[in-house]
Amino acid sequence: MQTKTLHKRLDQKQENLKSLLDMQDDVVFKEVFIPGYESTGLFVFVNGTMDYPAFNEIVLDLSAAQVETNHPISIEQLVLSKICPVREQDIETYEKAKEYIFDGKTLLFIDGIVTGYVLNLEKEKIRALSEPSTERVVRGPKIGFIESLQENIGLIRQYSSHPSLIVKQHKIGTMEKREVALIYYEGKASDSLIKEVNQRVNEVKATDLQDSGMLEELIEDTAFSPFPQIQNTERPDKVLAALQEGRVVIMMDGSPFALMAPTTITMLLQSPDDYYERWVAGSFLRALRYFSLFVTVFLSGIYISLVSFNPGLLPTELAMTIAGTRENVPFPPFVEAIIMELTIELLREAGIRLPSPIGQTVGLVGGVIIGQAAVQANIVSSLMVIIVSITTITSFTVPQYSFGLAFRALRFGAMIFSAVLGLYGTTLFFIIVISHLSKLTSFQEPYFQPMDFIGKKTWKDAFFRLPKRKKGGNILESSGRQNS
Amino acid sequence: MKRLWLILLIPLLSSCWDSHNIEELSLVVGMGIDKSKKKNEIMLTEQILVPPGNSLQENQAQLKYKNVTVSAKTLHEAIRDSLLITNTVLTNHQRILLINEDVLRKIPMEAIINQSIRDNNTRRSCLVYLTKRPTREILGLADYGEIPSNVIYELKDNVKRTNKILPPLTLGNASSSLQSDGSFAIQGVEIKGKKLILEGAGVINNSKLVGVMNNEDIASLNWLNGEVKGGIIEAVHHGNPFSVEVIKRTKRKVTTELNGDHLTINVKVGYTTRLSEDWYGKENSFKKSYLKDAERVAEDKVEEDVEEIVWKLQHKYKTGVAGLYRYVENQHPKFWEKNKNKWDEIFSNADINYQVDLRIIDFGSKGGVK
Repeated sequence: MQTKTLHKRLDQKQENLKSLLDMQDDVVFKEVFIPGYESTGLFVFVNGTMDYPAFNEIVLDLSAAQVETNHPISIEQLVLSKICPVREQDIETYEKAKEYIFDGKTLLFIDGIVTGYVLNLEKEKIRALSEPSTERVVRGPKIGFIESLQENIGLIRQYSSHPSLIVKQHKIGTMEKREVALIYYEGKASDSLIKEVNQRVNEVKATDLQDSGMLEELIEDTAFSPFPQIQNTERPDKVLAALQEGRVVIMMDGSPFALMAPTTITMLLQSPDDYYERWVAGSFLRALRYFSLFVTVFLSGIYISLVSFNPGLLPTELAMTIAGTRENVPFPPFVEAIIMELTIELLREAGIRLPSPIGQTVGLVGGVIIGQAAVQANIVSSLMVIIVSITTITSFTVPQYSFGLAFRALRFGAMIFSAVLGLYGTTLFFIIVISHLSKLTSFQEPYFQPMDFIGKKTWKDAFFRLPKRKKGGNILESSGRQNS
Repeated sequence: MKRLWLILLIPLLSSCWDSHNIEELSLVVGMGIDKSKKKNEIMLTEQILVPPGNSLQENQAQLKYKNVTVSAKTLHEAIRDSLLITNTVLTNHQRILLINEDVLRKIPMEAIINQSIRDNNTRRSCLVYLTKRPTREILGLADYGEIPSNVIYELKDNVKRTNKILPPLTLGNASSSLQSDGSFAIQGVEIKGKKLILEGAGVINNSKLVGVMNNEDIASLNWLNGEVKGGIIEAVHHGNPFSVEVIKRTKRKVTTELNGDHLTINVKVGYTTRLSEDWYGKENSFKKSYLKDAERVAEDKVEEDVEEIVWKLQHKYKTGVAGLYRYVENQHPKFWEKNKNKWDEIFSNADINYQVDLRIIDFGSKGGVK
């Protein structure tokens, strides 16, 4: 397409623009007569992006304009003075005009003037701020991010007025451009980290993204790991805490989820209300979460290995009970476990996909009826149902949904290893998971810290949440990263 | 690279050969060893748990255990022979091992428990008991559907309440005792009135059964060994019986003196006790002298009993069941080194002085009559 400069006459302009945009029915042409100068203006915009009250004001202003006899001004000067608050740019070609129209801007052409004016009369469609639905807390701020980047940054700026909070914006995408913002505290985030994040975000510039989840996958260290290497959150308080710890926060327009890098495994198991509640309760809940993580991955595996390989390790009475419940079950424990685990995963998936009132019913019907019927029909043993229920419940205690998903998947690995090699296999799987975690990095920082070395200072915020000291500032800082 | 993955998958395909589901195993809780009718063979009775069924009605109908009896020359052969009758045997959960007296009179105990000790599956914490009746009869006693092995096993906890039970003898203890001085006592099990009871004990010396003791002897032996953890001392004062319950041991001191080849062992023990019953109508426990008198009577009773068991050990069984050899070994190592093979003889000729100090620190919620 050649560049074509705008015509001087309005009807020619309109004709050309119409032929350029012939397929688009939602492009609106609106003429306005400026009586003082006996001239005509033309507004071109895409219907639906227009902020009509602001538009009306300008139209009223223009049509009411009179020629001042004392100081006559040209029509160009008049228009410029009227549109000054919303004017963004001037254009000379039809191609530019088309581009701006679809960017949501409003164009104004005046008969007799070649230049077209780009007006920003855009109205952003956003929902109201509400409680974050994926990360609820009992006590703590109840505000969450929304899909508008500018609103989200405004939210962060509102709570952190420090001038060293830096917001850097990039545009990503080929067809649809999305704003991506890198946010960090200058001086707290290390230079190498900022460089690394910048570089990775630049590398994915030519990709169209719908959500920060897609960005996350493109900039993380390795995609071949079940563990998320970047934490996401909907909560401004979590983002602020991460900023203070010297992390870089990446936010994308159109996604309410902020990414925080680098991420460590302990971060994923901390919930903000650990810090808002009293420390004893916070520590207890945090320790409970680590325990439930272990149960999620290994309980079914341990059951399988105890029942089919090492029954001598069970207490005698328990061995009797288990043998009793398994008496008429036709499958080996592994098959039994796979059947039940898959059923539960299916129910869970169905529950998420269905509309919420039906979803709950499915959960109930599936959980209670299938479980009960399967036991009565001797397809699975009652103990297996209990174990599967426990592992399912414990997998929900992980504050980070994506992290919980990783462990749900790993559970099947543990079950296979146990079914093949017994308790030895379970131990082997544990070692494999731990060594993988130790090898993993998030933005070139160890993922497994601070568990990689022993010291009271680093551990006291990992497994437990010990009381804050009044001196020495924020507990989050002392938990901090070693190289920031 | 693709081939490497296939190689790594081979272990998965070859898997599961150790896999054996729990419901297909025979969980053995108890074993009994008798003499077989066939010559030179022993008879093994295995008590196998039968898992309860799912429905309630099934539960009431069926027994909770089954017994399998086979006979063979060695214990392991017998266990393997039992596989002709029942599922694969799992002895991890074995709780008791019953041995018939007749077996121990003929075959050394070392040989009888050899397989169980050698085998990693049978726990060293499995308890060993002696029976006068055939073990098959004892393990076959269905008392209200309870599992005989469990009944016997659970009685061991009563050692804190009565002193007429020997402290539980585990397979590991038995093995280590056989390795050292080879002399110890085994708790006996009997059937009385269609009930299983712990009664009597056998004295083992050099792997052989050399004698049996009654319940009173067991109590006295416990006093001598310092193994009393509870139980009652019965005595008579002012012509009326009274009983004193043992609370806690406060001290035990064993000193040995050597005079040439003659050994003197002094045992001093102290216990706190409680006046738990008193039939004397004019009691006045609020008076210190009254309690002191009762203490003295009880002490005399205990010392008398101990004297009797010492006499029995020295002259009837001629063996130092009491484990006093350790003190000689520690306090006179040179003498022990020279004479350890003659320990039974030395013990039999030794002077044993036993002194007990009972202190009544409590007399409950009644102390006198107005």
